[in-house]
Amino acid sequence: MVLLEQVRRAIYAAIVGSGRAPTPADLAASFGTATDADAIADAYRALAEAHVIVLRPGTVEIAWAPPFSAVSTPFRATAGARSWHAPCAWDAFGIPAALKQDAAVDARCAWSGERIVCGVQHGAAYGEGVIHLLVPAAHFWDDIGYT
Amino acid sequence: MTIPQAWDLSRRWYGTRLDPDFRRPTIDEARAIFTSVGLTGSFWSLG
Repeated sequence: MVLLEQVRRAIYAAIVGSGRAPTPADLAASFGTATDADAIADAYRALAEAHVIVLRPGTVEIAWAPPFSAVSTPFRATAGARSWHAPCAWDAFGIPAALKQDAAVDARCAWSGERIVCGVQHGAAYGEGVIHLLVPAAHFWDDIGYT
Repeated sequence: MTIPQAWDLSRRWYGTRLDPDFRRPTIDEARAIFTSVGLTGSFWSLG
């Protein structure tokens, strides 16, 4: 039996390590012959249902394992020589929080397109700007892609 | 939210995301996190 937590950890390890999200087949191969990809796919669906990860609609392809995005976005955090995309500006700050290390955040003003210089240095945030969320907190997960 | 608020919120929301014992915050915990970083009012209400 595949434990959800085992799958969750493996997803995050892969996306932190490579920036890419593993497929169920990838994890089945890494877990060994006792685990089949269908069981991993069921775990992906359960994790999505629990709002731990976000799948592309109608698939078991991981779009986001917040604060990381497996797909390219306008928001990116760079820590050392490595960088990861984030689903949104808030999550871009979630990446240094999750990694527990400083990071420069790439973001652009949604109104002007101007680059916003911001990030985390020596454990403190820097940069000017305001992050606007469009959807009230109680409805974040009604349509998380839009949120 | 301001950038310092985003960082404070992120540390509380995502700081344990890679930990082996991670679990998502409960609704009450989420409310407390929002309040602790100054995110209050109807927009941040979770019902």
